[in-house]
Formats: sequence, structure tokens, C-alpha cells
Amino acid sequence: MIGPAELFVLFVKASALSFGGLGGLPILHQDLAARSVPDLDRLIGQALAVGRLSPGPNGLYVVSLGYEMSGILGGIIGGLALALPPFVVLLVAALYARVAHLKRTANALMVLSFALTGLLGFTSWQIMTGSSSDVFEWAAGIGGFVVSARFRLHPVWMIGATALIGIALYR
Amino acid sequence: MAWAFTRIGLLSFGGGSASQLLMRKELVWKHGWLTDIEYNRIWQLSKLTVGIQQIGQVILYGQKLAGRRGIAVAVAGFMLPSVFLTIVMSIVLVAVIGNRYIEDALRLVIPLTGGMTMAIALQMWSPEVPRLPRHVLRLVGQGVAVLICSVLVGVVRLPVPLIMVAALTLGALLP
Repeated sequence: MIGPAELFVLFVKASALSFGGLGGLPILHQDLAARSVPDLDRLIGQALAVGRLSPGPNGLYVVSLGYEMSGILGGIIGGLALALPPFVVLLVAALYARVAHLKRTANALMVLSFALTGLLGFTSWQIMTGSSSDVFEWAAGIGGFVVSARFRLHPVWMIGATALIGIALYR
Repeated sequence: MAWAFTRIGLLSFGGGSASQLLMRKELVWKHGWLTDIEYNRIWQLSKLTVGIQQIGQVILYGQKLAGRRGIAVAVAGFMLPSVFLTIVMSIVLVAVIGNRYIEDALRLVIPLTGGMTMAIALQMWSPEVPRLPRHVLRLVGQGVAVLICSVLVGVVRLPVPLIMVAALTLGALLP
């Protein structure tokens, strides 16, 4: 069982050591898996679905995950943990002029983007494999990848349509 | 300002591109608080922040418009309604879990979100279609780097922050 304080630390750590709304997911997944959180991939999958349906920035899945793990306090903790690390941008803004023109800065960010792709790709693969046991579930995962990558369909429509298909298939 | 940022937070369904459009509409086109050049400069700068880039962007716009009070108003307006709605949606989801129909729906929705997240991972890399043989080599090199990071976290089980710091260091050392 993870308490609210520890949850806050884990959320802040994931957000502070990552770039982008979903960049912290591999860190969070690894930390929660190390604490043997039961049914973790399902919890994260549910939180990702709520996060994609919510208005606001990418990354609000942390709020939903916080609620699933620690109730309303967990949700608030998740929101707070998302809001704090980006304040680093004030420091970045002060230092930016010194490093922006350097090729090293561009190279470092480029290699980091490859790393993030590999890390987030592996985490999403874990969510897909952990929740897929029949051909329809695999098709949903692969379909989600192809449609998101190719057609930029709004997540609300994708999740809604897939939910209806699931109800029709398994009833 | 509070109402403008609340509108941005509440109406930006669908992630980053929707937020950008709304933010530009409110701050540049509708209210004229920023020029296009100021908006773009802060947008580029915010890409270097940790965590959610859009929150960093909102912090800088708030600072530019009204100093510290502007930061507080902008972040609160942008985040609070979204966080509130996300908690409400989570409460509804948790309340209906166990319902047969919801369970059936989630059987497909959860792997779907895995696939959608994988597409976002690919967009972070945004590989270009190669036109010259040397571009193919570059693309293969990038693919190998992506694969190595996956193996390091999935097979070798290295801590994710360590891999990210190593990637940043390696990139900075490149000629």
C-alpha cells in the first residue's frame, strides 16, 4: 500500500525527470511495479483512458491514477505533482540565452527524444501485452496505434467507439 | 486573465494541438495581450522545461502578462477545472467498475490506450522518410538508439532516469 506522501513523491519524480505529458509514464510504471501495486497495467490503462477524455493538458492521467490509488486526496496530489516541476521553466528562461545557440543543446535534446520513444514505447507495449489475451484485444491495441499515428482521430471518438465494440463483442 | 486561462483549460479537448490553438486565439487574436512573435518565443522556450510543456508555457505567459500574480492566476485557471473534471470522471469510472458492460468495454479500451500511447511515443521521435542512402543509415541509427533504450529498461531493467541522463550526456558529447 502506497501512502499519499509517497505517491506525491513518485508523481513529482516522474514529472520532474521527464519531458512532455506522457514522458514520465515509464518512470512511474517502473516505480509502481517495484512496489508491487496490484493490477498495475489495468489501473494505468484506465487512468490513460480518463486522461485522454479529460480537457486540459496531456498527462492528466496522473490525476486519475492518483484517485484510483488514494481517492480524492490522491487526485489532488496528482494535480499538484503535475503543476510543480514545470516551474523549472523560469530558470530555463533565465539560462536559455546562454545555451540555445549551442549545437550540443540541440544534440542532447535529439538523443533524448530517441530515448523517450524507446522508454515510452516499451511501457505502452507492456500495457498492451498485459491487457490482451484474445485476438480482439490485440486488434484494439494495434488499431489504437495505427489510427492515432496515421489519422489523428480525436481520442473521444476512438475510446467511445472501442467501448461500444467491446460491449457488443463480449455481451 | 483567469477566465481566459480557464477557458483554455476547459475547452482544450484532444491534447497539445487543441491547447495551442486555443491559447493563441485567447492571448494573441482575441485579447491582443501578446504578439505572434512573443507567443512563439515563449512556446519554443517552454519545450525545454521538465514535466508538462503546456504548464511551463502557461507559467511564462502569466509571468509576461502580470508577474508573480499572473503566474498564479494563469496556472490556477488552466489546471484547476481540468483536474476537477478528471477527478469527477475518475469517480464515475471507479463507481461503475464491476458493471458487466463497463468491464466488457474496458477489455478493449485498455489495450487501445496502450496502442494510442505507443503512437505518441513514435511522434516524439518523428522519423523522416529517407530520400538519400545516407538518410537511410541515419534512420537505422536512430531506430537502433530507440531499440537500445527499450532493451535497457525492459530487459536490463536499468532505472529510467539513468537512461535519460545517459541519453542527454551522450547527445551533448556528439560532435
